[in-house]
Amino acid sequence: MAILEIKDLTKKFGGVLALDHLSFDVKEGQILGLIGPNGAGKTSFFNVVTGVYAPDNGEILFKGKDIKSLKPYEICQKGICRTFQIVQPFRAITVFQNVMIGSFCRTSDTKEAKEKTLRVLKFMDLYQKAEIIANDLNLIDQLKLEFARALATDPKLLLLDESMAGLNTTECKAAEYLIKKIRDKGVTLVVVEHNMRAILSIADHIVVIVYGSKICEGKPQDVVRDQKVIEAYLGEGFSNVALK
Amino acid sequence: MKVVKIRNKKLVCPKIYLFLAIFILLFVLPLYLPQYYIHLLTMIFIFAVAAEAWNIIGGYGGQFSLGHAAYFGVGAYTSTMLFHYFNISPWIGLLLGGIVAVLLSIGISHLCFRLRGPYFVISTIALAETLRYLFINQRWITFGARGMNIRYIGNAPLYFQFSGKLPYYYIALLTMLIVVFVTYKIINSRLGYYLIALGQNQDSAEAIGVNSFKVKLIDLCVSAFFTSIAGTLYAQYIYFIDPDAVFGLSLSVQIMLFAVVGGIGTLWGPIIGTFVLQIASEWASATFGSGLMGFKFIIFGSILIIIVLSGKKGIIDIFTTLYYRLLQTEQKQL
Repeated sequence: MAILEIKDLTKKFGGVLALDHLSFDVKEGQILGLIGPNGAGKTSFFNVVTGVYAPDNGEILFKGKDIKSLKPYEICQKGICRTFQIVQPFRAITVFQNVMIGSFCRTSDTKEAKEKTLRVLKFMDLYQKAEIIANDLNLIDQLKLEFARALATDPKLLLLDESMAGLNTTECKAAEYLIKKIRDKGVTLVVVEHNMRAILSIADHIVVIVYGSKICEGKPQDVVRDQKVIEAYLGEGFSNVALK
Repeated sequence: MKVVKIRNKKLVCPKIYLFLAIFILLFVLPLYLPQYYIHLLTMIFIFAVAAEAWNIIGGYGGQFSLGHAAYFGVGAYTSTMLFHYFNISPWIGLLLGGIVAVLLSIGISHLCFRLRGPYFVISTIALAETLRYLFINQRWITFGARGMNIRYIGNAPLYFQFSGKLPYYYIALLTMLIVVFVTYKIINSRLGYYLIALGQNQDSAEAIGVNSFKVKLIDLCVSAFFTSIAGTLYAQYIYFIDPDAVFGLSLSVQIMLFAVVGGIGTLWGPIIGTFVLQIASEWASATFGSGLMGFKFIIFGSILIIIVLSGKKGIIDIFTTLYYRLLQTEQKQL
């Protein structure tokens, strides 16, 4: 069952065609990897889906309903949440307060929000750090905070934009574990990543975007062997990688 | 977290006793003070209402307004004109003034919230100045620069007029406490958290469900409402208003200054700031008299410079830092 349907999505910024008749579906419960070279349109795609920009053409259907004209906060209320390429926690306040803002998406009662915040913090293993100012956290904790804040909004679909940027191998593995944990909770994920090893390890399905258009999609082991993908982005190095 | 809670308990006790002591003092004191000091305190309370209301949108909301006199003046003129022309009790005028201020703020929000930074500030100045000129020019109804008097009808509590100073004192004090309570409620509610988020990072906030326009709008409405109430209180206490006094830029700046010097974005900051600056200005007037007109602005400026140089966010911040430093010393001795 497709939770997100993208049909013929097109977006121009002046002379630059960021999204070129993009079409694919995201199935409920899967982790979809979105890969492609820099400037391919991956972040633009997230921006258009979450209402930051309006598309010039095409359809965006979330659970069958059109969300093209909604504002970012409405889209969050519908159940789509996104994280940012450069982590953007609310720096001057504590971890707990950061997640509270996410919790308030589903309730206006402070007490309920506090309980939910505690649950999410425990789930993301941030409970011990609840009273630390967000700016003082290290990168992996800031990433966890970003996830926690998004999770607190009870999303059905989570869009992660290059979450593993700047993480070392151990931290990457921790992030992969968290992403899978979030999926097991019933959240569908679309993950943009340049870290191929990570994507190959977590993604059920991969879509490859180059210059705003989809050049390939399919199972990870098929995508890494596709000739177009190898030429445009990956190179030969991944053809022989042992996949899950 | 347990350690923090225990520490908090230690901190909470002295704070509450301090506040209780001050409250009792404020309620009992006027019975023993000379008229001048009652007047001084009443004026402080009235301006503190305006400063605390400003803080709701200027401090917590992050929308730095230099035109809050617009709402102050709306409150003052609404109640005064309704009383003058239709003999409507200023108590009702108080509420109606608040409603007009809220409607005005809704209209302004749609025009000005898309503006960022200094452009928003300029638009707030423009609003107050526009109203000031409007009220100066529409002499036929507002009496223009000549101003309006509140008709003296003796002791008439139902018409917000009292023969002594004490009733005004207590009304102003009560109103001030109400605004502080409202601010406290906002801070701990969803609105308060959303305001903080917006102030930190608007895009991030919208991505997790914050309707930035609606949040800022509600915030400004609350702020405008209470600022307008301060305006009505002022009019009823002083018995005279004119466009320069209640719509003037210097009033807007003063309100902002009280909040900023006291502690922008804090609960008690604007109150403390009003006390400090008003007392300093009265002291300056008393000491230097008419020899140095406008000296109070030099005082204001000097205090502001000291605050800014201290690197702290106002008097409250300075005292909080000292307080924690003192506590640490005590703990070491234990």
